[in-house]
Amino acid sequence: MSLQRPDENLKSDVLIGVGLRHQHFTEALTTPSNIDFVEVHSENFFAQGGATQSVLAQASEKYAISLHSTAMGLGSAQGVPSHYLQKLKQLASTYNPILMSDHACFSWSQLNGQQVHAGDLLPLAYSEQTLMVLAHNIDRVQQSLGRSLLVENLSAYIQYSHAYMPETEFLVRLAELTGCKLLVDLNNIIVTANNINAAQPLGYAQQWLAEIPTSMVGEIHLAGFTEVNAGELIIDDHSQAVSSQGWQLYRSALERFGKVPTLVEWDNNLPSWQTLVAEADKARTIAEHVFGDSGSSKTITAKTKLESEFAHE
Amino acid sequence: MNNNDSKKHSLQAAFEQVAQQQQTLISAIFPSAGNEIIDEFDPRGMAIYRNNLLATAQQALAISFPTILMLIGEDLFNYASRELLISSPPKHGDWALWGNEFPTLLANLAQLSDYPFVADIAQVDQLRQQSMRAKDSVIDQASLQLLATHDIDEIYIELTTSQFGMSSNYPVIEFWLSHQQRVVSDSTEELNQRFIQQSLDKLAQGNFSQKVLIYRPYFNAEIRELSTSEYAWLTLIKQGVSIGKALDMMPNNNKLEHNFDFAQWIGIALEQNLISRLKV
Repeated sequence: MSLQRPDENLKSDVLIGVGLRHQHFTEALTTPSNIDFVEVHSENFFAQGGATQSVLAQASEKYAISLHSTAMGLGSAQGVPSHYLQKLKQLASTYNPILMSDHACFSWSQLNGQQVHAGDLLPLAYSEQTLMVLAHNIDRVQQSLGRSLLVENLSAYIQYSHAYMPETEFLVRLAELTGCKLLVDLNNIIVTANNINAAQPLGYAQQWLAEIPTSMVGEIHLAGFTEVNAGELIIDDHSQAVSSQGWQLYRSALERFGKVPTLVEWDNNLPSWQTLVAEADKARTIAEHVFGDSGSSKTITAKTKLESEFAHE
Repeated sequence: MNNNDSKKHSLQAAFEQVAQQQQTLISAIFPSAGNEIIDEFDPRGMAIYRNNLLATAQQALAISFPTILMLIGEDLFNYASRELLISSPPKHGDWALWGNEFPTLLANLAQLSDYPFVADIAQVDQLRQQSMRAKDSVIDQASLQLLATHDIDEIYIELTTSQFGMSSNYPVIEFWLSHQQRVVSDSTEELNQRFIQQSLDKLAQGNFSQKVLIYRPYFNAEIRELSTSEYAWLTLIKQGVSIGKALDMMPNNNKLEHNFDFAQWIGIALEQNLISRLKV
């Protein structure tokens, strides 16, 4: 079954979605929700059958689907194995997602002479060689899927000592080489800014956005993180509401990149489905402010809350 | 060397160089007897990657082997998870597929040497997960008409791919059932004790053996004991023997405790979604 939602059903000019996780399956399917799409992690639906496939089929009747992969390891010199790609292709052909994405990272490698998957998003060295590997793999995946991918910037906890090129230059050149678009994760920029001890994390993030051409961004991710003590690294754990800095940056991002589909991610310490949808409402309200769009009629409460939140900054 | 050759050569060189760099990082993250220290990287960052890997591995195994987690407790379970990362690191890009070697690892774990049945219970958990991820199947009703139009010697049964059989020298069904109550109360405790008592009674029998069927009527995988005759029957069907020939062969098996009733079996099989279709 495939479904392309007609435009008139979309809730506003900027598509706003939330991450759909196991704990929210029932409510997402049974509660009327003011969201345009849900994003699922592709690998969670690689099974041939069973309950999860049924849930995704039902979700696709109600929402447009975005397939966000977390294990493709696009920057792996080991390549992306065909068995993985076949499953992703099958999933995409079944659910006809409006967006498909993964990260600028690597996951596949060799350990003691055997193929291994790291089970994590491991950082890339932003070198000419890595750019060639990543571009080659993305080209292969895009050819196989018959569509372009969105590639997300990463939160990294280690930095390669050889400063090959800035992350933004690496991503821009990648997009130019492959035709892929960028999925800009605003929270990841803030986390990285903090972890590299940027003097002004928000300023660092604003500059980061300014270095990306306006036409290259195909999606924005919003998320929150757990605060840490001084001297500790922040982990991109998607366990909190979007931070006030995240909302500020979102406004800047929309002003720069235009009406870009936006997703609120929340993976750990999950709130109620209503709370998650309320976060999406906040994003919609900001989009309406930026674009003067009154397409959504369900934002009064969220708007009031948001204004109140900004009033404290 | 022309332009194309030169590009190819440079791409190959890039892959080799990046592969080396990535293997070094992977070796420093995966647990082993002596993790390499890479001076280049912030040790706090490396600790995050190592902890993430262990936590994700534990979480993945806890989903695939929930009964084992309850049975052996978190500390030993986490230790076993780490051991599995060392001996059989993931290779599929899908954590749900990791852990095939976990039952064998548990069987060889010194801490469980007095509890040899744990590995068999792990196999039950594993087969249930495989069953619940298997392709959905609904009986092809039209194919049942073959029973009216063809001789049973010519008819074969295609079984659903969501069912699995296993054999154990321990009463794994009763042990497994005694660890399925997620909420602890007087009544669930009583139920658990009843299953444990049944396990002990069965273990007291000499040369005990249990045949187990894991099957999926709808989305949830169920577990039940197979009689010796049904086990023999399913074995013949899986071997591709026709219904008629399999029925002829059944009485020749002197290990069977009673005659096999095909009419009764097909009713149960349809109810439990064991049959995909009949074919000639």
